[in-house]
Amino acid sequence: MIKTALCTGCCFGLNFLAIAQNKADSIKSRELKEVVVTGKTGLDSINESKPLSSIDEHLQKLSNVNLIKRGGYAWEPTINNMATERISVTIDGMKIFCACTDRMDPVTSYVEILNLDNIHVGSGLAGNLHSTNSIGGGLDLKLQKAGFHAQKLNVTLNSAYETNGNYRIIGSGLAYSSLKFYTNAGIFYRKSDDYKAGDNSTVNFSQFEKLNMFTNFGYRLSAQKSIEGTVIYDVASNVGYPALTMDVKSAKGLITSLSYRQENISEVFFNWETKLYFNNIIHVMDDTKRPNVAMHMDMPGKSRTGGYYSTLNGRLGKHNFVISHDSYYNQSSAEMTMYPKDAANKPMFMYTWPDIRTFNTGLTLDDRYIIDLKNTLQLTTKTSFQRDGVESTFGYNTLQMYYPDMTQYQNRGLWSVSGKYTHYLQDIQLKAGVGYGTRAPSPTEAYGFYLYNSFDNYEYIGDPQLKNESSVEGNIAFALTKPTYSISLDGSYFYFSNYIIGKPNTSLSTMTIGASGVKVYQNLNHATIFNANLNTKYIFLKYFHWLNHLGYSQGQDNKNNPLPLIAPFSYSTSLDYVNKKFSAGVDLQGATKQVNYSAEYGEDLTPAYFIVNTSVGYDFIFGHVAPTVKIGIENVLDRKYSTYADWNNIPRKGRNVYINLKINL
Amino acid sequence: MKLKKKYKSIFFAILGLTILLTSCNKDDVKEVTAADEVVGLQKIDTLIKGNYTFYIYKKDTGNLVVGYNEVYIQLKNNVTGKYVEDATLSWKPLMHMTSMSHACPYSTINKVADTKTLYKGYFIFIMASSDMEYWEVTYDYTSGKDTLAEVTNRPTVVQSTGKIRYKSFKGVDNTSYFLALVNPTSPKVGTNDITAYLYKKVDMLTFSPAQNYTVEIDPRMPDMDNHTSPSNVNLTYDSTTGLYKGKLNLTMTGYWKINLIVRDASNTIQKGDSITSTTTASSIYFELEF
Ligand SMILES: [Cu+2]
Ligand SMILES: [Cu+2]
Repeated sequence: MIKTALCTGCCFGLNFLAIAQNKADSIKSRELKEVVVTGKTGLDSINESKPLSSIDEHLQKLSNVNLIKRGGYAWEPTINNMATERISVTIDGMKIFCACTDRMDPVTSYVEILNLDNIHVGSGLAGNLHSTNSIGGGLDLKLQKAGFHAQKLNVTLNSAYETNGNYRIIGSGLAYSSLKFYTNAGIFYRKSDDYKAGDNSTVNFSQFEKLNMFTNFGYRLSAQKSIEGTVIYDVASNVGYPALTMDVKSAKGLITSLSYRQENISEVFFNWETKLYFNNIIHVMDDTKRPNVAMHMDMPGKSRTGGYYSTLNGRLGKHNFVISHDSYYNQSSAEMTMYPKDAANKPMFMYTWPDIRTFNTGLTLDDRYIIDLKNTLQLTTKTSFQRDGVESTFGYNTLQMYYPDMTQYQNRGLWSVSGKYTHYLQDIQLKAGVGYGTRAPSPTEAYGFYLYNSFDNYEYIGDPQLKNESSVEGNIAFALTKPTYSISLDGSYFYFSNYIIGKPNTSLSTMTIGASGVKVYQNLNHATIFNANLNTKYIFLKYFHWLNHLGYSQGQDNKNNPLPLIAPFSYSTSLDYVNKKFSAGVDLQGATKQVNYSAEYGEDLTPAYFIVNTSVGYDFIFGHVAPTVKIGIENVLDRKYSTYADWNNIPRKGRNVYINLKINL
Repeated sequence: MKLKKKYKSIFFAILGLTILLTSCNKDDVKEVTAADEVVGLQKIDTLIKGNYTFYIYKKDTGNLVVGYNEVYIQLKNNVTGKYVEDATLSWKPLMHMTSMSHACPYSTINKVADTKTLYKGYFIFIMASSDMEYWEVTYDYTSGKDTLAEVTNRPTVVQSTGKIRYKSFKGVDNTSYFLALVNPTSPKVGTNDITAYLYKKVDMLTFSPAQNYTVEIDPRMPDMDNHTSPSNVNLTYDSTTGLYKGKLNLTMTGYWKINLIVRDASNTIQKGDSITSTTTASSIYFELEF
């Protein structure tokens, strides 16, 4: 089974990004970097058609990444068609867990594009050294660091306006560096009204507002030693979720870290970083603005995580290795108070996340062995111990009704190992990897209680006695890079055992008025996910860049029925003209109809669609002020469409004209 | 040498005694008084007859109600001023109506475990009292064949304004049944022990426990689309206590309707309905709200 898939995988390739090709010489940079450059101070603004777009919009451009949309804000990223419970999202290596039982607040929603230097996207089991419990891959949001350099101060002002939704963006960033001290600071504000779909109809409850404050600093203790710290405070308020039955009153995230770095410790060890971090997320939902609410509910949630990691980088002969130890402790708690229509009756209270505690500690070993100039072998392994359970006696009593012999806490051992072989042959790069990994059930899968899923109209109950999910992964990639053109193909195949998914239990009774039934998370004997991408790039007439992408995915359960939220065949093509300070582009994106949809999980046949976007940009210079202006039109044809990843088929934005302005002071 | 040894032994004897006394002091338990044993109970009546005083208590404030009532008694010897610790007590409730009189289900009176002076029993009143029609309870203290004291009172019995914890009904066998919920009194989310008494009327003055029946429970939340909980255990008869015992699962706080079906020993439904999409409640049910 695996073998055949690997063979099919040969025909497809790895995603290819512009930055990889520039320095094609050294072995190090010849590696295909699965990295996006984002709103950095020294942002390559010529190549960014819409620099102030949200992190979500940036992520959307990556071929392994998709975004599940429940509204205009806080889209949930997926990697290799796997969502939150199967991927890892970290901020500078820090673990953060969402506080919403309904997935309204992916980790990516707590940072701003201006906070970031880049986003590291890792595909599959070897995706991210800091990841835990991930199979599909990892996103590491790398924060901006001005660094210890010659003294320099850089202040930017950013502003943007978008016609669709009357979307206003304003922000300012500061970067100061010196040999002894550096700091970054930024404040960013976004506000949008309801957006309009293609037929000019307003998508109600799609408004949002977000304020983000960020600071980063570093202080050099000696030539080799330094300390660094980060504080991010992010508040989203009055966020509508048109695809859900509730909105968000406020989602607050406080993210802090302090780390100690030591460089050039010895011949072998060249870098050692130890970071302590703490973050606190408070999420308050709101249904008071919705008409015809059958029952008013209060649903607050919180998630607090404290942890540390200590990572040592070294080089011994042809081995580049990383040793990392990390631990974290998370508290996830969410409750629900329901107010009956008959006000004489008392409010009804229950925990949806019964004060779930997770302690995890693990050791990661990674070695990149450069066999010779043409061959590299990378081996990564992570072993971790996890103890999780429900601290609330109330919640424990609740779950015991369903699982009489459950224990309040339980221990799990988790393990992953992967290997990747890379071969270079002149302009050609070949990669092949295999891996095996496990993940513990997520808090929702293990301990969630009556979580209503508006997509399939079922209520979900966790099972504390679930087995760990495991997966065998095989991946293969081929890339050919020439000065004027490049082509790459990649494919990955995951064979899951004990795949965790909810299945109906007809003996259980619903709670939500009108719900179809109750699903309980179970271990399916097996499931498979296959992804493939083809990317091409062609540069002609010196200034023209023509990029194409084709993507194909397939997911099947143990009965060969389609898994939910698997992307259909998708394509994009773009033509850009880039000439020094002037840039212009047009692109077309689309997907075929979603044939392999999962009716069992609430999906229906999503029709084919395509949209056209255009943009122009120019860098002005007025004295020492250098404004960059980008103007563009998205969905030029004003198509009304929704994709497979739009929760309950809410339509996406119709025609949108934007202007982005950036001034370097 | 000898003297020294003697002193030595005296020294140790004193030391030993000191330790003994100190430890005795430490373990000294404050004696439980009769007053301590009724802490938390509400006195509802004081009945003096001859050398004896009956103190009647119940757990909560307010009147006795139609349905299950737990009643506590202390008996004082007015001559000695002491509480009687080994009394044989009995009682008899009778309702005087304008045209007739009748009794109700009630228990014997027993000593409360781990107390010296406290006695306990229950009534399941089946009607409320009024100006014209009243309940009379006769309390008896006997020793062998001798009645040492006999007193009566006329407690006010009201229809409970709270949630339904008592139901009387006529079974398909044309017998009158009386079903009273005992526990839970303070329900919690999770698994609760549920207990109830089921009596049937033999004649106006005789009510006997219905034995080996089954009381099926189906807890529902009418506010939540008639949501129910899993793994409830129907109530079955416990011959040692006379109680019906089962397990009741409640998934959240709020208002619960515990729908009931009473089956007799031969499994025939005497009263009650199964809950379906069209039958949202049984003809007999208890209510809980917390
Ligand atoms: Cu939420
Ligand atoms: Cu009467």
